[in-house]
Amino acid sequence: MLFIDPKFIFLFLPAALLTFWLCKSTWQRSVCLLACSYFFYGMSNPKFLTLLLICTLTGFLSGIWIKASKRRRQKKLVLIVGLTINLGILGFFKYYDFFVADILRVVSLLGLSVEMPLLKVVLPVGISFFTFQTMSYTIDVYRGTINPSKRLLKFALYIAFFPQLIAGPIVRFRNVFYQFDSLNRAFQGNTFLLGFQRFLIGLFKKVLIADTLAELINPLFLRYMEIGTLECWLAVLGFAFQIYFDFSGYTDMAIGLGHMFGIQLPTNFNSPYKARNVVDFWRRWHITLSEWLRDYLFIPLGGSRTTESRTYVNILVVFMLGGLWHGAAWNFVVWGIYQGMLVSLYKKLKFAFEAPPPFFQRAMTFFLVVIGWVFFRSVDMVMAVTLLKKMFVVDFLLIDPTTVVVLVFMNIALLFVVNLLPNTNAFYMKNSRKWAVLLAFMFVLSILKTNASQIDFLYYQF
Amino acid sequence: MADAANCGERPNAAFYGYFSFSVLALALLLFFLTSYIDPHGIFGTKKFPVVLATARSDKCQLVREVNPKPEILILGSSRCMRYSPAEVRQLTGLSTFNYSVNSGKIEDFLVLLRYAIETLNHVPKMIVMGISQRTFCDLSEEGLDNRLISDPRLMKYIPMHAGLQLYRKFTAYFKTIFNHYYLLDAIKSFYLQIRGGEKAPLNYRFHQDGFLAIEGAFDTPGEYPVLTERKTSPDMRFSEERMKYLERFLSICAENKIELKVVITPNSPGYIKNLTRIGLDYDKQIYDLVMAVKEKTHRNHAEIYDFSTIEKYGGIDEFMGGDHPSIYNSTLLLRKLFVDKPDAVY
Repeated sequence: MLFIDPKFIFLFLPAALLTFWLCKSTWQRSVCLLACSYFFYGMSNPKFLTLLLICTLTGFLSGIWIKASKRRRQKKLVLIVGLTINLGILGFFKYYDFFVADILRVVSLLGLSVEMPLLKVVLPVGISFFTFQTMSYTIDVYRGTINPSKRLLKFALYIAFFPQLIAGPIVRFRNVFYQFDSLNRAFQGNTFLLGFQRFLIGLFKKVLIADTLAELINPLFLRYMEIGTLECWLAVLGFAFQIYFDFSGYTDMAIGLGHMFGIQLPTNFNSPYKARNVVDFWRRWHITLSEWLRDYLFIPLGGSRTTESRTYVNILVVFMLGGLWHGAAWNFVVWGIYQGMLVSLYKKLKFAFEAPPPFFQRAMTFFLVVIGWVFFRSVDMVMAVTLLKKMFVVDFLLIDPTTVVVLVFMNIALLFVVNLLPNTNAFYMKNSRKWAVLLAFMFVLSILKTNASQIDFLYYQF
Repeated sequence: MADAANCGERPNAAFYGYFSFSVLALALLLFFLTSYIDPHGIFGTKKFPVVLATARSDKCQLVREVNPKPEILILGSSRCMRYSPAEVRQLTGLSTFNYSVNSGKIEDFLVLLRYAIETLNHVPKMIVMGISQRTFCDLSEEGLDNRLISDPRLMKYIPMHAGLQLYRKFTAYFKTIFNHYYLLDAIKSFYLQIRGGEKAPLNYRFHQDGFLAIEGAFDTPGEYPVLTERKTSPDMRFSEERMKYLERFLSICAENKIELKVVITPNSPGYIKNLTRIGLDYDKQIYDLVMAVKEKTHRNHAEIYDFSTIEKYGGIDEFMGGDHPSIYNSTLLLRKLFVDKPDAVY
């Protein structure tokens, strides 16, 4: 079930909210929220609930055993087992076919043959997110930065809380456990209204902006061999906006839903296209993932507190794995390495990057990020290379002039929007009559659009 | 986002009031406007031109009027609308009626067959049923067609619990009417009306034998649809409910001793190439389709013919207005079926 599905908006959500706020005690509300979350997740495929439960139990028991272990060695062993189970689940469902296909390819190139079946495993929804959340909890308990949860119910809710279960934000236990402890607090009208409005704004961003762009650019990408330079640039730019409005729209909806249940979820976007350099970009884009990679991968590798060359290696490794996290395909790996190279280059030549005027810095950063999106959007490296060639070697082919005109206007308009308007985090709750009517209009338009075509959230597939 | 510090509960209640009232007002306005204009012919107001083919009601009307009643019925989606009944009659000596309907799925075929047998008291000798991957697709991908749901004469033939039928009707109407394409069609219909009541550009006409005579988009050669990306699941998910409709359909054929030829309809080479490009395995999809249908037909003596590519029936790459074989391409298929009499895959 998606957040944009009318069944979610008109049936599931009102029922969940009503039941939640009718419950009075923390325990009742926790049970209610957990049941709703499992129901929500089970709607995509009930079989995947087993995986969610395995991760939950793994995380919970790891935490308890790490705390109970007297010796460091024992703690480390439990940590390793816990992480192995989570990574094993993630690795199997997400990467098994990817690695096997590559092994078979290499073996075949060497003129050998080996029997290794491709399982064509269906990727469980949200697996990259909840396994990362479980791992962050286990590591934090091992480091002693948090105490393990003694209540399975609270921990299960932390993992399965449906607003952020499918596509983040990736939440740290320390950010929410005290909130789950005080679920019995009184209904806060302003907080609820804040969440309600943010949910609607997210819906609008996703359905009316991102999905409209998708309908325009997807046919161009499908016929990428036939399009020319102009269409290629417009499609790639369109994708840059699509992925932003899609993912940030989803995040707004997730945060809005959290508010409606009285839970504050972390920010995940902070006007990333206003970034002045690539490092700044990664402080503004998918913030919770960047922080996760920094805290649990980059810093344990030594971070930047080591030799210069080692720092660059660490950066490349982190970004490469970050790319791989997004998808089991070489184009994602290349995208990650590309981002890592940009960050390393920035660190090396900071003075050069920061010398030009701010406007130029933003334009340059945006340009570099857009080039990266070519790899992200492509289905394989052949497509990525073809698109890049078309972007930089002028080709006057034009297959769809109407779409070109529409995309020109949309891209220009969105360029102004992402650069000049404040982001949703800075938006103040308003309860004026005009705002109510405007939101109603946006809501009805969104429903009209979502009934016509439902395009999955892009990060749903990760 | 930050709370506005001086907002109390009463102003919030007023906000919700204005919001709810605005949503309701907009929804009602949309509903009354579009149902009055009725661009899809769902409500039967007939005040403005219908811009979308309805076919189901038209075909039922035609099959009721045709005399003598046909010995062969051709069932399928718009892909089968160019299967010429005259050609089939020439090849078999049996009177034929093309009973195909736009976006036809198994529930449509079941309903149309039951209408013929139970309302018109007519049992055909043979049915040629054209199917594709979409015929049994999951209901969440494509639900019951609103052109079926809106016709109470037909809807009663779908074996469904009354409560579920009501729910399905409601969701179908909701998805159809509160849909920006429907709104655009209403605007188109309104525009045609103020231009002197012109007929919709999508102008189609069926012959007495159900054959599609003229259909604007069908006369554009060589086009195939540009696909939007689909989920990269390797498996085609079939609806369990639709497979149950197939079982019911097959048992009606068996009970009435109707010879059934199930034809897997072809896709254009370009369409198949597009599928491959987005990572879908067309051969596997067809294999899955054959296996799913085979599983149901083993007791019911139906024959399944795989004509999923033009090579399999000696066809040509001529697909009109989407993924619809041209008249000539359809004729080649019919000749393969009735003259060459290939081995059924089952």
